[in-house]
Amino acid sequence: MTAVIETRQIGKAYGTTVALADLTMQVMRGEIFGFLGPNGAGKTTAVKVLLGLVLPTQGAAAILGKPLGDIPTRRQIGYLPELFRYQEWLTARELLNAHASLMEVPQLERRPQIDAILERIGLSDRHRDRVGTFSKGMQQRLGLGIALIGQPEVIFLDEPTSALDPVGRADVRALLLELRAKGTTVFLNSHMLSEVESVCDRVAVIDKGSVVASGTLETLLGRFALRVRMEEITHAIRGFAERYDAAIEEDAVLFYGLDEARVPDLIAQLVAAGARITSVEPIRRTLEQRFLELLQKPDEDTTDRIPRFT
Amino acid sequence: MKILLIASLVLHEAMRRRLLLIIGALTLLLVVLTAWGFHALASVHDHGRAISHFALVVVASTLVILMAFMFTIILCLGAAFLGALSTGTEIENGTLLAIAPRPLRRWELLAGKWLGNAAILAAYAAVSGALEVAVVYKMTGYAPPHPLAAILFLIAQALFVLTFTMWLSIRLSAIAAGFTTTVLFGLARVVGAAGIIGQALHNTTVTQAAVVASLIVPFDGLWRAAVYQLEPAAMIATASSTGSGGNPFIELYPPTVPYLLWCGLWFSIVSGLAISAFARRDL
Repeated sequence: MTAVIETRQIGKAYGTTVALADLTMQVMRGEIFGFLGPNGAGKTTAVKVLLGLVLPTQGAAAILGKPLGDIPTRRQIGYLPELFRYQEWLTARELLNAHASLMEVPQLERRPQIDAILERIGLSDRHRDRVGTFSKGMQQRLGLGIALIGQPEVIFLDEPTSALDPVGRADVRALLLELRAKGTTVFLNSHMLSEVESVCDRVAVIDKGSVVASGTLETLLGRFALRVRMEEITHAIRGFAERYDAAIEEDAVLFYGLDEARVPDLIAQLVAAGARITSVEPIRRTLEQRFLELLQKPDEDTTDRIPRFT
Repeated sequence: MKILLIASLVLHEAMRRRLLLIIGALTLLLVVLTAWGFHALASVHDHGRAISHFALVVVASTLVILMAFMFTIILCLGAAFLGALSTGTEIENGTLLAIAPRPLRRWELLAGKWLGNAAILAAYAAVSGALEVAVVYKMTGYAPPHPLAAILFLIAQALFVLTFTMWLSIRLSAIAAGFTTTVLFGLARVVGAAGIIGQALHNTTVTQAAVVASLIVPFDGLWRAAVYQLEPAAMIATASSTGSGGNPFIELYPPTVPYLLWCGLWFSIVSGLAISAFARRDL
């Protein structure tokens, strides 16, 4: 896989205030890359630096192999800002048309492309209405449509569901998966950890302007585990557990690092070893738990119960 | 052309926000009032006799210059408003965030904004100026000697104010940029008058200070250039012979070539500063 976005020690300081310290990361072609961090961690600054909206004070970066700000490369970049605001005096179609012109979409392709986008974002019946009459959620949908104009190779979405209802959020998740299927690279900056968890191939967590963890969700969260509760931990079960390097609890055995496909076999073997199983509990850390750990704010209610697999 | 696209968006906004409609309606109102006023002037009788043509020309030319003075204030304040609101406000409210990452250079974005606003100001000055001159001619038979040149100088002044405000609005808040330009515009007028007084009193310090200030903010010189184009030769001759050239509504000399060259350089410098500031501006 080739890197579509590559940064090397990118930094941005406003006087003595450091907004971004030394951001180094790679985003691969065709992946949905989640960019996480607490408020003020530098996520939006990083996105703005990558888009040429903010000039970095240190480091270097490239998008599609070209340095930041390269004009032809911008034809391959879509963007939905976190604080989206559009020309409220234009209609939805006029706004999309203006962006199509800016993105140099050929004249003949504009109408069908705009029609398809309006359909996809659910604004076909409002295309003649002025943006100023739209609700916040509708404007965010329109912003998504603007990001899609010109069928860019890379799309930056900064909190794309912040103004959407649950139906809208589900729709955005589906859209992200469609984009991935088409080979579009999506840089997703989001606070919605469940959203990131459900669609992202890889994530980076930043804090105080630097990446504190990155990788696939599996790498970041650790592997699947299984707690098998039973009426009695017999000698045979203890021997079985030791072979699997599993932890033995009062009325359960905890298996780490399992491949989920092996669970039926494992249960069959336990039953064959005489275990009278009362429950089987799959255990997986959520991204939120891992996120809080990384930021050294462990959630006391859950970290006790959830074993660490790293 | 991306510049033309951005300029067309500015014009589209002016139309949708009814700015063009209001400008058109107010221009029409002013034209009607001017027609009525000059018709009344042409009908004035002095002890039962119609006033002489010379007296009519003197009064009409003075009134035309006063009207031009009103227009220059409207144009320059309008330019300060447009300049501050177009770029400064869009930086502040984030509208530019969706446009700036598109495949266009920052200077193209700024030039497009400038072009759209300049077109509004120039069209307003040209149409209203032409209508006023035509109405005055129709009612009194008087036409200023060089109305086209005068309108061009008024447009140039408004464009200088627009450019200056756009530059300021990149660094300052929109409201601060508009206010600063308005103050400097007023100051330029006062400095221009001070320079004339300094010359009349042969005070070198005041005269030189006024010259330096007028070079930094050359708005007043363009107004004076416009005034000169509106004055009949007889009016200049009379003012010269009576030494009554010391007020903002009479100008005895045409703009000098060095001054016009300096204006061109000033415009280039301020435009360059605006482009450079916008290229480095974090959005």
